[in-house]
Amino acid sequence: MDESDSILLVEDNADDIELAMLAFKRHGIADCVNVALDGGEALDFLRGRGRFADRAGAPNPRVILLDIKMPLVNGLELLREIKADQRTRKIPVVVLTSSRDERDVETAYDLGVNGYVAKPAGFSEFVDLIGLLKRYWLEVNESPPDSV
Amino acid sequence: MTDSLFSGTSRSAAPTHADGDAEHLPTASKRKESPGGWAAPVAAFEPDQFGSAANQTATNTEPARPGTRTYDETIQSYARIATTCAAIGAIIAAAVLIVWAAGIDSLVNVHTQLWIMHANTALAILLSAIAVLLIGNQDNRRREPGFFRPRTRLDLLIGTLGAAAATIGVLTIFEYAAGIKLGIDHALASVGPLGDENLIRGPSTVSTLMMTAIGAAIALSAWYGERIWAWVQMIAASTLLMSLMVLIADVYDTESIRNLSSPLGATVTSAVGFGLISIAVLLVRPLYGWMNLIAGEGNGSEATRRILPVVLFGIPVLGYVRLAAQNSGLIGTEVGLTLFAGATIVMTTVVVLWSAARINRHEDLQLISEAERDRARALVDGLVANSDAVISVQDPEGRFALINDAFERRYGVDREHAIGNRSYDVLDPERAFLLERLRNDVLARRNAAVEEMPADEAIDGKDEETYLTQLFPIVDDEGNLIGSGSIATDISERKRHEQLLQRLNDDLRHETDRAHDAIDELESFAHTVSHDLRSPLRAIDGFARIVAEDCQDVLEDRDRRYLDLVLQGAAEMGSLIDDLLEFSRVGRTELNVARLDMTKIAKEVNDHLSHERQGRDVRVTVKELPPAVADQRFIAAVFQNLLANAYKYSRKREVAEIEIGALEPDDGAPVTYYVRDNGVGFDMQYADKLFAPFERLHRTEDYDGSGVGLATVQRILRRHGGKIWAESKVDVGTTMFFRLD
Repeated sequence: MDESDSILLVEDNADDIELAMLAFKRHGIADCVNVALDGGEALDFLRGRGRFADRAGAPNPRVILLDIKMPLVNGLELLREIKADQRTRKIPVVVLTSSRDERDVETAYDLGVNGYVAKPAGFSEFVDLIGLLKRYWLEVNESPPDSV
Repeated sequence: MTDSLFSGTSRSAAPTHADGDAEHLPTASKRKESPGGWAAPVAAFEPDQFGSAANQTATNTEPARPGTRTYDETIQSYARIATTCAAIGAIIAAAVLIVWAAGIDSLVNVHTQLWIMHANTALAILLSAIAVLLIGNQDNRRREPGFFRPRTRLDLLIGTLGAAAATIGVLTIFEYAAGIKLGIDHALASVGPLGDENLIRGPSTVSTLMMTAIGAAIALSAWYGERIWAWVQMIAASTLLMSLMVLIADVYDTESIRNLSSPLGATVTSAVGFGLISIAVLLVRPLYGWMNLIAGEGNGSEATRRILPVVLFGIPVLGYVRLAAQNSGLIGTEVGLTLFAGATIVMTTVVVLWSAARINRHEDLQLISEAERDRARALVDGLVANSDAVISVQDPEGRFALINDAFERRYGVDREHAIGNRSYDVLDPERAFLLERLRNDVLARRNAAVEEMPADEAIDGKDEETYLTQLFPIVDDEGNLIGSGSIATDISERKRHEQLLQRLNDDLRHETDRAHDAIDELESFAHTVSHDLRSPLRAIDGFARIVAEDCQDVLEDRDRRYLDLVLQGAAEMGSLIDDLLEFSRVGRTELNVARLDMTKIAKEVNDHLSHERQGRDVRVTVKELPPAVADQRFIAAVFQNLLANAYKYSRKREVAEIEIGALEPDDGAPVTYYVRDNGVGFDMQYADKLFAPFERLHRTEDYDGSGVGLATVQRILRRHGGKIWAESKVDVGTTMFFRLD
């Protein structure tokens, strides 16, 4: 099984991406991660279009890690698209954001999010958090049938 | 005294002086209200649009004081005397007729003289007496004068009875004149012990005259009504005089008069009978004719009532005394006449003087009470005239009876023109329409207490000014509607103030809304900024940490220390942002209020702070805390902050002592909770800085912290309507108190 598309990280901030990749690397799953820089790209990835035209027909990722604050299509709008699309709505989506705003949390769950995790400010805590996510979503959790 | 508003000359109906003599009480009453009449009966016959007064005259509700009689009662007593006299007369006549008709000799033989009364006389007296009794039983009202027009069957009956008595008299005269016998007496009476002779001789001339006169008088009264009463009374007085002459003659034993065959001769019984009937006729309508002079309420009448009996009875008595003295030979005719004249002078003088004294006294009292009334009226007039309120009174027909100066000014009308005219003649049509509509409203509801209307809805409102108009019915003591009053007060100033206040209120609300919006915006801004600060902070912390780890071997000690400082700074900034977000959250989140077990919350929070106790000797006491109604999360945050501070500032004590407790006042005031430590404390002069965000009382090197914690606590408590304050002493410790309302 090709594990390379197991995780889709949707994140626009380059620093955050790099730190996240470092954390993934520490847990040995950097290769499993695909990064979309905004909502549009994420949709392209999932639907095999544009930059990701070669992925047409490819299986879904096992989990999507989603930042909320993004330009153009923000995380919650993207979440609505994913959950509205027959082909993508089964994919587990975990919001990974620095916002603990209750309104964001409520909206996310209203839209059918599968998890909501706040990014800690410290890097080592962040590394620990990534470890938890990896263990749960890639090892413990049983993914939908058409996943990677 | 509502009625005085309509008639400047009217008087109070209630007697006001206090000498307790019933007969004199009414002298100050309503005599002047209507010419020659009485206010209450006259009012009863005025067309009354409310139809309620007609039945009320019989029961005059003037307040009667114990032991006194009202004037109306006095009048009623006259009527009672009249009917009593008539009844006795009727009984005498009837007794005579029965005795003769039945021939009861046993009675007649005892006092023969008493039973001598001709049957014609007896019949006439009986008929007249019945007629007077019927008059007395008619209601005592003043009637419209008519001309030979009996108005009721009763009038007809009375007239017929009187006419019958007069006819008997006329027929008797006819008998004498024509020298024939019509036999009326024989038809009535059997032959008694005195034999035919007495009967055949017939009644005396005087009796015949009296029966004719009194019968005619009664008939006249019934057929011609009130106007004739002066003549009726004149006739009755003449009859009375004749009766008295007969009786005096009897007492004086004057043979020439006593002789029945003489022109003035009549039997005592007949004289008594006619005297009683005459008195009855005189008193049965005391308010009519010239009897009003005697029965009237004025001082003159009072004097008459005093003097007349003395003249009527005193002089005959004196005459009798003189006669008796002369007859016994004690004195001669000249001396007797002299003494009689002297005694008469003394007696009449005494009674006239006595009467004058009483009248003067009454007039004094009357003047005093009049002066009191005038003064009271002047005060009321002054009140009405000087009031700024626009005051008017209208009679039930809508004519203005009173307006005050303010009314004149406000509506630009002249008092002379307004009084006696209706609103449509006085005010402009629209205003008059509104006033009349309101008035009709109030009058229709009659007993509605006060009709209150904002003036702009009622009469006013066209001008800048606003008047509050109250319209109310005015009723007298008996509940009859006698008018309506209107009082309009200028509330323009109040209205302007209200409007101003309203405007200021609106402005204030607007400003408050704007302030709220601004605060909301600021909160939102702070929240967003705090969030956006996290990302770069994570980058700083993350990359610094990676460099520190990856380049551990390459880095100089100094570089490593710098990197540590970077990490430390990032950590501090992280917790600062956390605190700020919490502070912001407290302001933004809805309170979720419930009844809370404060002891449990305090203990749980303390348990979570176990890391603070590591390696230290801390004695924490959580006392029993009364429950509170508040938001659980926020109250936990309060304990969290206060306890964390207590741990933090007692860190340098060998044995730290922390106590959580509550003070419960007896008077039901809110519970005060407290958290006490034996830490470093602070100088109370800086206490006001304790709760300001970012203000700190200790250097960061000694005690870390953002300075936002207590500001957050204060914010939480304020949102609960409570407050927080501190007591502290340097090196002794601090107690933080808080209260939820």
